[in-house]
Amino acid sequence: MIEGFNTVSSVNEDYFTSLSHYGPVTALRFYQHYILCGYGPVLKLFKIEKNECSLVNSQQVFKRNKIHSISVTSDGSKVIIAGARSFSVIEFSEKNWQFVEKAVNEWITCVEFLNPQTALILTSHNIVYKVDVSDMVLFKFRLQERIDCNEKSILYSGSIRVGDGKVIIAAGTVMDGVIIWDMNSSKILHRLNDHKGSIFGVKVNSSLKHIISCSDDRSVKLYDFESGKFLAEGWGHGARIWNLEFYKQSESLRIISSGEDCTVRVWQYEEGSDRLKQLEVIDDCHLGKHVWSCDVDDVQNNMIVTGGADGSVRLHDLQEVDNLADCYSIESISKNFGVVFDKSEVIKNIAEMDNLDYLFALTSHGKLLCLDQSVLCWKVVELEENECEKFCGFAIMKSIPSVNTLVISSIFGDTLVMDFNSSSIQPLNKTWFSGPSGNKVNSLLITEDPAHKNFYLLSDCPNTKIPFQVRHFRECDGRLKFVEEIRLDQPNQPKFTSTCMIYDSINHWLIVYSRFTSIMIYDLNTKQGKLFRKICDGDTITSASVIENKPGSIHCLAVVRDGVYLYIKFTKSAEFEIEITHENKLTRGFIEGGFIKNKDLYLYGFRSNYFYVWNETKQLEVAKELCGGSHRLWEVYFPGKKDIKYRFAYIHKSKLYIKTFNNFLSDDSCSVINSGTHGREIRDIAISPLANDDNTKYIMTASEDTVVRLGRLHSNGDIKYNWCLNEHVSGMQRIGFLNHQFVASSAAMEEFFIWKISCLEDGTPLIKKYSSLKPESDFPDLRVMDFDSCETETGFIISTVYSDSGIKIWDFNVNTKVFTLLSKGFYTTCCLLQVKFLRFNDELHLLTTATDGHIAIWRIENSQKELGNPIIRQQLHQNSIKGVILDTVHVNLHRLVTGGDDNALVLSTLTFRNGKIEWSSQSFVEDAASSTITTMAYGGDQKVIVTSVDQINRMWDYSSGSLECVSAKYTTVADTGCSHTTVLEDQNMLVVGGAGLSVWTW
Amino acid sequence: MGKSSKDKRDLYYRRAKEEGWRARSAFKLLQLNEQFELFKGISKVVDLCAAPGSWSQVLSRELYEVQKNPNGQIVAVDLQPMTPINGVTTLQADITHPKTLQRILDEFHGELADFVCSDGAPDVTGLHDLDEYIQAQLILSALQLTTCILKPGGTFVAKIFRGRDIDLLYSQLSYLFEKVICAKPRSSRGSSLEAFIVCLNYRPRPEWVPKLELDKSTEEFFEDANIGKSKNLEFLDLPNDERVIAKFIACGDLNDTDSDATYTLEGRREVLDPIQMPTSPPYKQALEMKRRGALVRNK
Repeated sequence: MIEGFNTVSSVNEDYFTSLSHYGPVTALRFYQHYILCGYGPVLKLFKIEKNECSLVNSQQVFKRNKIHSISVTSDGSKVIIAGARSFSVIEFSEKNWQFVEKAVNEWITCVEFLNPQTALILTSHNIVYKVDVSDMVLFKFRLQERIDCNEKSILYSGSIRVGDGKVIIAAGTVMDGVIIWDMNSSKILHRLNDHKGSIFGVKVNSSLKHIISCSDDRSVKLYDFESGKFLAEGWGHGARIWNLEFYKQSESLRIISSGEDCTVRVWQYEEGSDRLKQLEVIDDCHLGKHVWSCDVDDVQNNMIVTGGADGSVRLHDLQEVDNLADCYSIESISKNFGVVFDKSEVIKNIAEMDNLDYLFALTSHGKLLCLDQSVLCWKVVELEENECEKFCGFAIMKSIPSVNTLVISSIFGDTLVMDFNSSSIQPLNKTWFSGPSGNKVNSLLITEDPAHKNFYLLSDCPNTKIPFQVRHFRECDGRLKFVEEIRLDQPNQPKFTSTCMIYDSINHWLIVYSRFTSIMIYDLNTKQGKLFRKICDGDTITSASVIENKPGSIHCLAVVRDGVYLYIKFTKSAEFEIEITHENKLTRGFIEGGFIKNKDLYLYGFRSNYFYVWNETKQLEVAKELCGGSHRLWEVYFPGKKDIKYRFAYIHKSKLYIKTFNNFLSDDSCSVINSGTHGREIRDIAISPLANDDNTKYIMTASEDTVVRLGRLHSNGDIKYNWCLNEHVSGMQRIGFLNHQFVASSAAMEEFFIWKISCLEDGTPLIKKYSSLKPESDFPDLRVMDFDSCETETGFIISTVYSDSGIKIWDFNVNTKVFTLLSKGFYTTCCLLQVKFLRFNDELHLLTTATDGHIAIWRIENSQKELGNPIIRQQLHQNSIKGVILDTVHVNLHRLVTGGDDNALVLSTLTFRNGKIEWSSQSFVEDAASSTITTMAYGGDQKVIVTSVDQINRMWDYSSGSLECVSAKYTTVADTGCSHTTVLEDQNMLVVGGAGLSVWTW
Repeated sequence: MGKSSKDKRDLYYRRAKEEGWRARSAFKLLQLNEQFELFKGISKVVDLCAAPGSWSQVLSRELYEVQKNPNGQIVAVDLQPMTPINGVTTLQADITHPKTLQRILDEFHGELADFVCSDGAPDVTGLHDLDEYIQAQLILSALQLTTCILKPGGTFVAKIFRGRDIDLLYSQLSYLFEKVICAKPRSSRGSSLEAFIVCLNYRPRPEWVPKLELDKSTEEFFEDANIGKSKNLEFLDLPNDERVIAKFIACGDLNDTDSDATYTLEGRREVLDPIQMPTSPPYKQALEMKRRGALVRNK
């Protein structure tokens, strides 16, 4: 045996059990109504049935390697999967696959079946292995032949096309472009050298007519297979392209591409043009960067499936590619439907009544039109001439779809209420209500409480001296019935431009929202109100809705146009009080509205020249329309019935467009068939100390790309995220619970935040940035490397350590949210990595580790402003100490386990004796890992779990006084950098993070 | 190395500009040398994946200015063009090509090299296993050439990324060198997985004649070298790989500049010009099109 043989790469692996794994989705393949998914080393099989897609089987097929290629035999009997050097062949079935992991001694670029008995394996050296895989009992696979074309350049990508008696190899090299060769003759057919940089994808279509390729240069190129002639190229991707697929059956030649810019694009080749036409862009398919895998099925399911670095698998509706908006102009309505318009007459208002499929349009001349969308026919709604005159120039039109009612207000607030039914587009009834005499109104707000059949209409005059004119209606036999008119004093301030309102039927409260994030809440019992001015940064509150209410309190959702959304709790005992329980930023653009459906939060608005609908809970865009941007007349409807999902009507260049988004699957959120975590490497994990009522614990994770997520960890290893928080603007360092209610997080640019967690009645956690440390410098560039805390009567004592060797100790008062600096100092000039509070003889001390391999200990005295010199400074490692576990034996004795970049693990003790702290070494393991120990977690009973970037979790027991490796097992998560242990339902749990998350128990 | 950005956080970056190095990585080789006395008694040197040339610069200063070695000769090889360096023969060539080997041998008049180094790293994709594999291939390509050109007893130094299978590489190198050390210079960021393998005292495999051939893959090249690389087993069963943990040595003075630390730069905020401008990326055309607005969506 060679010196230094790795004895700790695999030890007693059964000690640990893996519960769940989240990580990059590395391969996807449609097969009939199935989706085969290479989820790292796990093969997952999904079945698409009746607008649902569900997981039918999931098994880890490779011990270490990730699945990069999947292929199914033409008769559907077998599946081959391959990745890195491994491959396996399974008999295709819905459950319990039998397989043996096999390997070749080179990296596998792709696999394909020649026939059900023979597999072809293309290696990264451009060699094809022909393997007899007929033995599915003992799995004695035989290598029949190794075939090459005499060019063994290293491949980044490649594909095998079997068809028409031929086997064509398409090889994408690192440096030498594309090589197309014939396996049967070993002859090179074409060398395609138009790309710059490495080739990341190359495919030949099934009829052997075309070749597509993509590379580092961000272009897609199409070639004629026979001649190798360049036909066309497509530009559009903003980063590298990883994958290409041909549509399988489309009449025109269509291609999909996906890549590092997190988009999928659909391209069409139009003969004679050397530019591929980009038909569709699906943005933000996943969190962070990278669509790692995708496939298209235009034959059976009409879907695209994508897999991301975030570990989620998503379906996309292919029919959207050809789904265009209906378009009408004044001219076309006039020409086709005989409606007579005046010169310069334009559409000024639109409103939809979805139960009846009616869309109303009101023109600048007060003409009311109705489009019956079931027959696509426009007609004029007959109003009296004097009625039309009232609406000439300015009017506000709104619909109340639940009662088939249309409301139009004139500039002076004279309001026409009409109801309709399906037999005619002419109103059944018309009722006029007069406005606040002679005063102009600038908004008409409507709120409904369908459960209790209450409806309120509010007319708002810009003159704040004029009270709000509020009309109460009640539904009676499907129609609105006027109940009473109420006058409510406007807030006593120069300007209050109301934008939306909600009615709380339990408390009989009316809440009116306005610009500059101000809110007026009225108790309709007393008609008294209270104004809350500028409750957060931002401009207009664009929409609000009730989340939950009970006597004395209401929780509601409010969205702010600038991109903030809030959960606001109003309570009333003597007076109204307000608390923002949840606040987050959306980085996607303007928010015009939001609602909650099936517990998911949806937001919609405009991003550059697009309209979007976004499921914030699932982090997924569910609809979008290129409409020219936010400055236009528009309306959106969420009928939630029939096949129609959303309808978005807007005016663009004087034309009316109506885009109907059809239902895809049973629900939008069903399009995420496997949920994920973060789009970038996870840098730290925090788990709440206490369990919730539903036997879950809160888990918070922070990733490189500044994102912090909050979710719940279940005892079966499932992690279900609720929120994706965007408050941090720089790279995350640490996150940790201070107690069950407060969490702290630190990042670069001196960011240190304290968050407060609460929850809704249904258990949904809410979180809000509670306070933050102000950076000391105007141009903060320090990283807050770590922090620790201990609870006090008024809050917490918190220590923060910095990349410039700085140490600060703060008192944080929870009630005032104020940080007071107690003490500060510097270690040396090197970067500090960890900080821990520890007590000797009940006196508070501080321990730090740094990149110089030393630990240092300071005594903290109450009155001392300068930290001074450490009382102990001891080198334990050659360089960075990245993991530290403090195990308190009693008031004067702590055990310390440290792990370093130098692969070593050290057990030592810190003893308080005769007024002095003594350090002494107990045990030292030089080769405790084959590369960098990055994180450690306490495993209970004098055990630590040590994780290193060799992707091995090791349990070390030090109860004997020396470190012994109890177990060493490979983790499927790459770039492992953080870990956390907890106990849930009496079960020990370990969560390890890196490029994904893995949950284990022992 | 561009003009702006990291100047403040990274003292090495700034020092490299001040001292005229083309890249901050010059300090890594200098610190490796401090620890292992790599440059002692060397004359014939090969610098692989050399662009932009900071290691060649270090070697050039060492051989010609410090040691004033009359037999000193440096050949730097890279696929990218390189700005000339005093006393360094630059070859724009592929290190896996037999012709490249011949050109170096010609340059050395048939003599073998005392020292081969490579600071090369491929562009990463973000898929950790693939990136590690490509990096390992790059090291094996450098190692192929090294086995053909390195004198017995010679030294090989190469950049590695410490990932999940680095112990396989340590194992294979242990067959070819007396000592294999994983070294981490203080100038290499602690937060990065970068390290360097320092392979001392080359011991050619008995009865193995390394031969670079155009149609041979790296796997085939090392096939008969018996360096513990796993081969295709009967029935293509999954082999048990040989893994070795190399000794780890952190080098450079602990009190020297810490590449992870943030330093305050008093009164020297002026931005220094880079020594060498970055080369043009493969996606240059895409960037130009984006600037022109030619990437607009055409739905």
